[in-house]
Amino acid sequence: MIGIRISKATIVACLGSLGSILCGLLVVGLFLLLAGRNPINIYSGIFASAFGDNFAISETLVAATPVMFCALAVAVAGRVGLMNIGVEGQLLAGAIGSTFVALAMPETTPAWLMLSLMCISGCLCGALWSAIPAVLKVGLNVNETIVSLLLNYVAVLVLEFLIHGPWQDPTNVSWPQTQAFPACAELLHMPESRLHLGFFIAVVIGIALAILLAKTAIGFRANVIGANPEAAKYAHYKVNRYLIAAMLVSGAVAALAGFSQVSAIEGRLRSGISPGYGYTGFLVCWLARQNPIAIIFTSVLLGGFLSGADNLQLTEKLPFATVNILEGAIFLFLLGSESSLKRLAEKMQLRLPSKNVTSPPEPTPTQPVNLETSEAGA
Amino acid sequence: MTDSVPFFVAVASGMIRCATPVLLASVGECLTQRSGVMNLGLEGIMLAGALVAVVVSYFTQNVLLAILAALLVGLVIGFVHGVICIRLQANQVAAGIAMTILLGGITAFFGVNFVGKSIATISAVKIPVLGDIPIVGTIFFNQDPLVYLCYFIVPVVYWLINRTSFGLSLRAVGEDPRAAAAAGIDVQRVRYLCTMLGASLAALGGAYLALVYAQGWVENITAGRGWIAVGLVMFAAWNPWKALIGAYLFGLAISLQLRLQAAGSDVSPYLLGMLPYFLVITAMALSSIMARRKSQSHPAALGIPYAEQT
Repeated sequence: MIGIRISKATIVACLGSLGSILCGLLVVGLFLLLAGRNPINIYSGIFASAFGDNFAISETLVAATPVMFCALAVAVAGRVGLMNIGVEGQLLAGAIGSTFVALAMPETTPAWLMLSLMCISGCLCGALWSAIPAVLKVGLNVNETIVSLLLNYVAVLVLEFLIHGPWQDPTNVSWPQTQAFPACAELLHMPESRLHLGFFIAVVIGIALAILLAKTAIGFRANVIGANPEAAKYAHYKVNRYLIAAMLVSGAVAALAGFSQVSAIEGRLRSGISPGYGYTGFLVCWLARQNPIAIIFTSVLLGGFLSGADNLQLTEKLPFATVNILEGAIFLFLLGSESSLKRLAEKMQLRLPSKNVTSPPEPTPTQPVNLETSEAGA
Repeated sequence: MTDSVPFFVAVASGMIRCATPVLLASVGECLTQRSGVMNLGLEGIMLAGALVAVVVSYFTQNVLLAILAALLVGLVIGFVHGVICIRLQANQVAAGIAMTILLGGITAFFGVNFVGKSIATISAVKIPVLGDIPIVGTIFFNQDPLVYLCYFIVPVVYWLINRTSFGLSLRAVGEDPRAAAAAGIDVQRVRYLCTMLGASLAALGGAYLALVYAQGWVENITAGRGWIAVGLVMFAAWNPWKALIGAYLFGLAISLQLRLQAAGSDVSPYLLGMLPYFLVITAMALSSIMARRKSQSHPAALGIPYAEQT
């Protein structure tokens, strides 16, 4: 997992992810069949409304954008061995932070200033939200997965509080949402589509992250900390500082998803701005084995599922929950196949991968090292 | 509740009911984690238990069948989690999250058809003599049968873990599976059993939510209670008695929130709703500080799959 190299292990990993997706599609197809639906119609419908024409593709990229931000956020934390499943809450925190600026600034603010301030404020809020599990983890060794998960629920409540209370649109009190943002708070769009600058920002962040991880000392140290915290301590790395920084960056990146959603897509803050983008992003990060470049492509694929299923809600009356079922099934197949794939890759390479420097003195051959490293999902 | 009941009695009696689902789930998870398996799918399992209970109760109008069905579904899901984590040695944290995504999807998919359907529910049964004690009787002995069951489950699970030979095996498996295997214990079987038992208790907690608490199906009925249960296990340092304290604290927060809302409090229900989550996070942090002082720690093999030596 260290660095980008096309090795046999990489190929096995790719095949594993693709295989999991296919198995997931197959099992959910069976499930739909049992539920009295025609899976072939549904899948072809999803495919057509995800990749069928230019508009479909642009809609897929629109759905892929928040997923990509979230998956990259999970990857940033994952590289140092932290499991940040709070990206959903950090996304909402980002949306809230951006909305605060959009509502507070005068409508005559120049767009560049407005958008930068929204972006900065959103990122700060996201980072603040991820700082809670980060500080608890580093300071008190509290499990960051559970804390960040619980904070997702709190973030939803904060958002509901704001749109039912202080931020509710005074001109329309029957809807729990803020008033529409001024025109200067709208992120740049491609002509005649909803595809917005956020997508390109996400891609750029993905590429930057890949370079950071593969080519810089910071990335190298982050990888060592994630793979083997003990070794990192021996090497006198400032482990705690890296853990905190990674979580803060992770929260800020997830917040960009919230910022781009309220700014470019919704044009206001309302509940349900995220149908679980954070959780989809979590799955994408695992499918892509934390590789930022792979995350870019996997996000587009999953974005296609989301956008297609969204359309089929109307045309085929397909419950949107079908996507969650599909995601869960793919995820379980991926996790179930991981250890066998690892063994396969080891056999193919005929030597142990470098990752195994992390092994303690007494492991059984296939046993991951300890809780921390197994959580890293390396 | 009638107005004649004093406020604190109403809150306390609500606390017992609100705590029950989380208590069942976290006591089950204590058992599972002591055997070295983390089941973070509690949220999903509770959802599944709740929906199954609603469906069975709707069609048969029989709560006993509904409860049995929920328990059975819990066993099945526990087995699947076992296959993925024990047999296939997957990352257990991620597997729990995947399981929750899957079961959240499945329950939402089918649950839509059961929203607002009237089902057979469980009502309170007063225990003859104990129920007549003023205050204490109203709080503890004027509840539904599942609450009474809960009073027994904590001591039983504690006894099972700490005082039986099976408990010795499961602790051995959770601390050092290789030594346990050398002593002739079937590591995988113990882990499967504990995972399945823990999952079925979580499903029972879900069934309680549906049959007593919400009296029907509501999408996302658990609202994070499964994760709270996992948090409470960490707070409790894998001790069912401490999990009981944690669950009642959580129940108190929820009950207070509901009472305050009913009493027409000015505070936004959304803000009050955050209280239980912050409570659990604070409890986890405090417990972590205590653990550092007493140098107690999680079961040594927690989350680590065990490969049989061949």
